[in-house]
Amino acid sequence: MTDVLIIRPENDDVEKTLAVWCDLTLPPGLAAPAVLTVTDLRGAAVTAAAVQSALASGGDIVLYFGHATETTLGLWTTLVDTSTVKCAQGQVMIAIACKAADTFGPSAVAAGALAEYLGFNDILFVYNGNPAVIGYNIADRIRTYLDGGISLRQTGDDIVTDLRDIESLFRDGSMSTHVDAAMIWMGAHINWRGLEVI
Amino acid sequence: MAEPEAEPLTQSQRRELAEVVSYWAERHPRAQDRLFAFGDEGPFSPLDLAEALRSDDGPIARQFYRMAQFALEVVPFGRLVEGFGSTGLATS
Repeated sequence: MTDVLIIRPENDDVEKTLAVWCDLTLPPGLAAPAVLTVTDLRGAAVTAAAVQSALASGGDIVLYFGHATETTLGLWTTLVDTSTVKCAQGQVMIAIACKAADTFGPSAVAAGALAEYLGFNDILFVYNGNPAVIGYNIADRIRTYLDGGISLRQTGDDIVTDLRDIESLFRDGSMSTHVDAAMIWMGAHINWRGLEVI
Repeated sequence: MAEPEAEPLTQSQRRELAEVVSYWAERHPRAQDRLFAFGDEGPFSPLDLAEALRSDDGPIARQFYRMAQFALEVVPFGRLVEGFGSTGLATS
């Protein structure tokens, strides 16, 4: 059984779309058999103190859906960085966010604060016009990971496979005439290209 | 760690891409309904993107050109331009 900490700041429309991706992962009110408890830090409750306190209290998996930089989670307000993340208790973190797999994730794993980290080392493209495009596939793979039985690395490989399929579908396949096809396949491409599991 | 940088777009490629994306955005019948975000920039509509690319400056343009330069790993530049041009024509 798994204790999950969700962090979703919802500060702007991008983070609100990412919060929808979170709901696609763990739909409100629906049971996730392998998940024992969910702590959902969202909106105004997402402060640096609250995030660091929640990380320090332990648990198994942390899901972050929001903005980030190479060295921090959070953009306008730094929620946690390469130094303060040392309060974490060896959880697995999945950060659906820009760039933090560049330095933040590897640093946290190297310090032993996080056991493993899945994230993106470059910009993350989000299609706000339909959050399910790209969002559904990522959410579905994370949900499968939460159900247990597969590794985080396999989860990363599966997300890459899905994103490459989306790229092909919109670049050369049946969705290539979609009016936003060029944007979507380019976005899917840069998303899978930047995915890292550490 | 981040992979090595892809080859940057040339100035003429940037100009051509800006032109065709502008065309696509302006011909889109429901352009304001389609919203995107790159990284920390967004959401914005295709018309916002077109405006940013016309000025060839600012974070939206930079993020878009970065995405395009990675896209050129898998398609030739002409195909990328055609992708925007053909959808624009299809909905005009």
